[in-house]
Amino acid sequence: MLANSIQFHHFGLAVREPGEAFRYLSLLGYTEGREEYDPLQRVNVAMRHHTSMPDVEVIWPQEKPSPIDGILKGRDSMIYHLCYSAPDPQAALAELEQGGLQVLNVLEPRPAVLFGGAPVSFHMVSGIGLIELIHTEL
Amino acid sequence: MSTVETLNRLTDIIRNIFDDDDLVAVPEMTAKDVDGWDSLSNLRLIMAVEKEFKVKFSAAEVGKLKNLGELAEMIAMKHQH
Repeated sequence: MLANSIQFHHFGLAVREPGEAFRYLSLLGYTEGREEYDPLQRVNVAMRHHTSMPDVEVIWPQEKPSPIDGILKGRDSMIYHLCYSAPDPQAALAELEQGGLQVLNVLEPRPAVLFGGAPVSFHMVSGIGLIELIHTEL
Repeated sequence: MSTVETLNRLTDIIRNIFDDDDLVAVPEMTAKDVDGWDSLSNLRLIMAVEKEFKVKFSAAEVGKLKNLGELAEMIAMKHQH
């Protein structure tokens, strides 16, 4: 069962400018986590944590062009990915396909500064959208 | 399969993805030519192409595509192998 292979980690919220998103999350009781510039994805990233609500990763452009320009085209913000930690990402993806879902590999695994250099990969899942997998140690 | 046939099938796909029955797939067409063609809808397009043409693209291949003509060429190449 897929729930045994992956675990929910956070929502990914793309914004043009993070100030209001930070204020909103702060009013909800979220606390500040790590904040970094990710040179490989060329975006700023900041984690927000909560004791009873799912974590949120806020992502905003550092420079133009940015890889999230397309996502923000015509809007100020958008929750655009769901992230899961996965000790065996290939098995998890195979399980999705065996379950009748179409999976497109969008970004090959690359180290993410926000997660201590752990590799992350992005995949488009039919009927769901973009998911990120953090490749955790087995 | 001819390029014309591929483009006809791509026309059906882009009309469905971008909800616009006036769109016609031509080799030079890029995201700039179509309202709502952003990075996420581009991925939906690629997935629809994979399903329609029964092909599979790698992340690197998707990243290299510049227009519909290159997509049609890649589909043809995959069908040859």
